[in-house]
Amino acid sequence: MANQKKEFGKIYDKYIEKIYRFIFVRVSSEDIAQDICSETFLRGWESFKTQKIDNPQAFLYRIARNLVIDHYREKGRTKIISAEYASIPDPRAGFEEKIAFDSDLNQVKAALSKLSDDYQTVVVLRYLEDLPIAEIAKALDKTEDATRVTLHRALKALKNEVNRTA
Amino acid sequence: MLTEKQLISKIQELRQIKPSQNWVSFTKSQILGEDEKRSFTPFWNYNFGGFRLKFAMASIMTLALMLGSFGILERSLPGDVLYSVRSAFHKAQTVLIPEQEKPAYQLKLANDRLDDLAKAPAKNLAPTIIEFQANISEAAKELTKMDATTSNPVMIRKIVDANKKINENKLKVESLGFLIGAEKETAEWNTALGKVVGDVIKDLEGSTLSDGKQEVLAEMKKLFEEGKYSESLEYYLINQ
Repeated sequence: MANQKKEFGKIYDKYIEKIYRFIFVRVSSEDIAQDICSETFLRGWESFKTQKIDNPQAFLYRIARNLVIDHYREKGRTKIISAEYASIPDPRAGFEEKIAFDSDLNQVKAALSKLSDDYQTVVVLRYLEDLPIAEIAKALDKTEDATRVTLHRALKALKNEVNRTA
Repeated sequence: MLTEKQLISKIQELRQIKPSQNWVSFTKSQILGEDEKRSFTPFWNYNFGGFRLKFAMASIMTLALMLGSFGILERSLPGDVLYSVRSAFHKAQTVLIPEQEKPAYQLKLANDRLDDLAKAPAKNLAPTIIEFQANISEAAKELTKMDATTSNPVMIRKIVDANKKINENKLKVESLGFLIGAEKETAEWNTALGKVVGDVIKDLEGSTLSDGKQEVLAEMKKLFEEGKYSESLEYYLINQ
């Protein structure tokens, strides 16, 4: 148990930022992102204790993705309405920089939130987290070819959405 | 009109999103820490293939209580006939002590020997000192087997307390004019303790820490570099 805990502690340290980001870009507030992220790791830990997890990263992304879907399903919310209001914490100090940062990134985030769950997942994992196609395919439970096609379509849809709202 | 390349670079800018470090370390301790409380099993409840250690411990404790009620063993001091029986009884008990408790237990035995010397310094001095040295050496060996990063903090606390008591008792006995020696054994113990502290520091360095914990780590490292291993460990425990 002690070794398991130590091992999972390392997994936590390695993936917490990525999983948090993956959730944050898809929900409406920091609080919700934190709640879902804690639940993801709690469920991950419960499973880790009882079974061998070959690919913790794909496993955690799968849990997080399902929890985000459950979140919208349970609350009867639509992603289109809620995720647009989630503002991105701004690390910049200058006023002009702040304005540009806010409008650019919130625009991308809002456009992302209008895509389907599959499209959002594939875009975030590929371009935000730099995951190889093989890893994304595992997280999505799809073949690599199907993942490539989804990614191509998702990027096109996102581009259209950003240009439409620009 | 955004190009695909520009869009990808905008998506990548979202990498600036990061959770707060305090939340990260708090959540980690909630997930892994709470579970520790839920799953903690006292050593006397461990189950070995259906044979409960609790049962064996109960029998031994009954025997110890019987002997204790007459004070036969515990009252015996170096030089007494029963002193060797008392030492043997303590050694036999070591078998029943769980691995992670062994370093603290050996230190306790070493402390008992120093107490004995303080009570009856003129009697059977040499064998008692030899036994003390053996206990310290054994404690060092047990400590090298221990992984402090996954151990119960209560065990680490016991080691720190016992270590402190040994230093106090040593001074007490030496003030009576007896030279305890045990330089080699003490060096072994310090090396083992240094390794434990080093492992804890390494583990903390590899973890996500809140600002407060980072300060604790810095102080621990300072004490470690000064060779104050026990103090470094104590500082860690106090600020956990």
